[in-house]
Amino acid sequence: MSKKISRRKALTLIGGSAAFPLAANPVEMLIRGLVNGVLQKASAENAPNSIEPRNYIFICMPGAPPRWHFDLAMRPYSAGTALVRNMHVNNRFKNGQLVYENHPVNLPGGGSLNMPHIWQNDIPRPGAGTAPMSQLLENMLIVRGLNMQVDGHGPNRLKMIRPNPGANSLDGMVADLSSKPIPAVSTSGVLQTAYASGRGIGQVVLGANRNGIIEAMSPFRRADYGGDFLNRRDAMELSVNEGLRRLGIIAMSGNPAADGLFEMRSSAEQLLRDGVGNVGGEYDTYVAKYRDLITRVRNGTLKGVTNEAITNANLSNQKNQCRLTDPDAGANYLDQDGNLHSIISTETSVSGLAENFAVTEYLIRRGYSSALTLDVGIPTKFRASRIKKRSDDSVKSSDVNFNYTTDEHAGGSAVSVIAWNFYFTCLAACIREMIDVLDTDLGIFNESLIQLGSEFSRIPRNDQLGSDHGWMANVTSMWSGVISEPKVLGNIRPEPVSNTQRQGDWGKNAPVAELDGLDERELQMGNLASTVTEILRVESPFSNNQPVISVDESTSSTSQRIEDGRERNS
Amino acid sequence: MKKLSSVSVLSAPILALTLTVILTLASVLTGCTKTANRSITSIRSLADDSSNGQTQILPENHPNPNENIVVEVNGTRIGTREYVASVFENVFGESAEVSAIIDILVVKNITIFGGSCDNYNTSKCPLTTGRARFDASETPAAYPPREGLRVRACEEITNLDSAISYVVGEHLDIPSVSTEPSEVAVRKLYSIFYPGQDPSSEVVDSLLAIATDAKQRSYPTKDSWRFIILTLCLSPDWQVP
Repeated sequence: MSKKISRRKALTLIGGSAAFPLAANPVEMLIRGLVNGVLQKASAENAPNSIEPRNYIFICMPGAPPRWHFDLAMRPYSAGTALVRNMHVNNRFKNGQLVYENHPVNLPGGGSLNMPHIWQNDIPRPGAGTAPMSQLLENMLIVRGLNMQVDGHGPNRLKMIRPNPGANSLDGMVADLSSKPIPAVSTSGVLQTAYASGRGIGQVVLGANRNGIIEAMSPFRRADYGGDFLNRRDAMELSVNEGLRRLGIIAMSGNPAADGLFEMRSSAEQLLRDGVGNVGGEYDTYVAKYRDLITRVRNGTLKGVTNEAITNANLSNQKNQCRLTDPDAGANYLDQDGNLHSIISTETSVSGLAENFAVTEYLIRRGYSSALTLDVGIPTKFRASRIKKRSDDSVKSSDVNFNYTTDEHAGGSAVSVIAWNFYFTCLAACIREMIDVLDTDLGIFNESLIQLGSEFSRIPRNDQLGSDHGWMANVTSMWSGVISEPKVLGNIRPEPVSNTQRQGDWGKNAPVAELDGLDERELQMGNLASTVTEILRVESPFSNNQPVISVDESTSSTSQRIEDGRERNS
Repeated sequence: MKKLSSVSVLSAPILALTLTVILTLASVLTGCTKTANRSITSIRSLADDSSNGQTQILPENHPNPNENIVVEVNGTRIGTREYVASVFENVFGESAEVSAIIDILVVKNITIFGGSCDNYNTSKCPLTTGRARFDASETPAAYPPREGLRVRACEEITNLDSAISYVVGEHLDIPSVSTEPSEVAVRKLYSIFYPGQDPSSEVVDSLLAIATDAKQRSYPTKDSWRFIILTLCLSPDWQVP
């Protein structure tokens, strides 16, 4: 990015000026600062880091899907320890029944990591071919057993991006230190409201679609002015710029910080002159790529789901296990002809997934932005042979499309396994591709962090009718080139079988030793925030809460600060 | 009102004492004390990352160049969309064409320019911009999207002959844009964007040089005005309220 008037240049230009206050009495300067209200803080602590923050891509899953299908590894390092079973915690079909299974992934340094069953799937790659989903683990950190301390979609979702309401948001902190032209962008309808920048850097909010990205780049796209105005303006550039230079000198003599204003104007003009290319065309290319990945997940094999024979008749409790969230608040259930997984139709997708990733890829590839928050929508357009009323088994509707909500209070166990295997495989394919763009294409994976999060995970219901808000069991996953190895941190514990509502293992937090100098305390939002900021190279909004890893910038690697994630009985 | 009255009767010694206390506190906070034999040696902007490592700007007669204190100031606070719009309207008038440009490029870009909505001012708060419009910064900073929109607004408005005629006629009381810009006129133009301030002779000369450049290119005199006004409009620091 060209900066036509750098601070160094400006200072050189004005160095001999008697009007410039640097040559004045320092006390006068202090008074001037106080009087003008520009002296905000005489501390080096908040000075811009000479090192840029890492790029931050926060992928939010509003509604909070159950994570035991994807990144809530229940027994990551102790496969021999049996789960305390909750009948809604399943991740595949086997012999016609719902089961939970681990998939051991061999680690580069020996040993294995036991991930949920879905990790044995292959995921499509752009163009053709597939890759093992397990490759996604290479630079992945999973933090589980997070206690959000309070229930609620809204507050907890906002907390993920602005964990301390009294401080700036995580994306705002990155934006404050970013030199990118559009420091912060959000396509998230909710997360945008949590954005806060210490420097007053605005966030560009856009719809995750073709018009949205075109609109986002519109500040740098000149309208057709007509006539030859621009030609004349170009011809006059030297004299106009000399006028601006003189105006800049005067501005900086009264306000040393004004050089930043002139730099921003200069950068904006450069972008206006360079143009932003065929934004719509580029977006179309990217969105087609991600849509193709989703299509191929849909048409491919989801192991344990689409290669299993499972029918309504085989289910032990089809009314509960096939319960559907719909406008009748779970009063219905799905009755499918033939194989149950045939609800995945030729149109089944994840709303907004391809579009959000396309917008993100455009902005990252162009180097326009370094803090992006996006939403992943719900799984959509499943096809049901019949939806029946649970009260009397009468047919409510036939041959209909239905969506499956992330907030699956009324999502029966069988439908849940199908929906989330599809959803998370699509998501994994898109994340894998984004990582490839950052790593192979751009070489900035070490300088980037992708975070996948939602307001909480879920509490399964013993009766298999769905799951509720697991605010004491949140999970987040992070990918960065600086994350050295696959790692699952954070302890969990089962609810005793005597709990008739929510028994068993579903990721409820358990204390972690050696944290914050305290013994026996569970991970909280502050620890997660400090972990994210440790990677991003920004100041933690919770200085008392330690990160679960440390980043060694000299070696671009991480080391864990707490024990490997384990399961406790209390 | 009572507080204002009480301030007005403060005696000079009390004011002096107050200022001394403030300065002493500031000195303590900044570590800038005479006894420490240290003094402020530069001011740098927190908004300016290029300043890192370039802060050793010492007065020639600095007593101890090895003990520098750098006072850092945050990036310049600039006006919200309403302030920027008001400057545009003041300078260029409120014709339908000008207002449309300001509305599209400034007023409706709430999150970019800052200036949150409230329930008492819905006319400048389109309902299509989402909840963020209530959370827009009241102390915005300059960054490229904002400056891109502002540059576009300057260009689009100064491309309007009617807007140039308005500035010259209304503010300078010059009936025709065919009259060549003078030093007096340029000084007045400057004060429209920077009320109460006088331009340096260097600024005046550089703006008059634009008129000369236009003339040498055989552009109409109207363009001399146009590009002087555009230059002033492009200058970003008039956004500082």
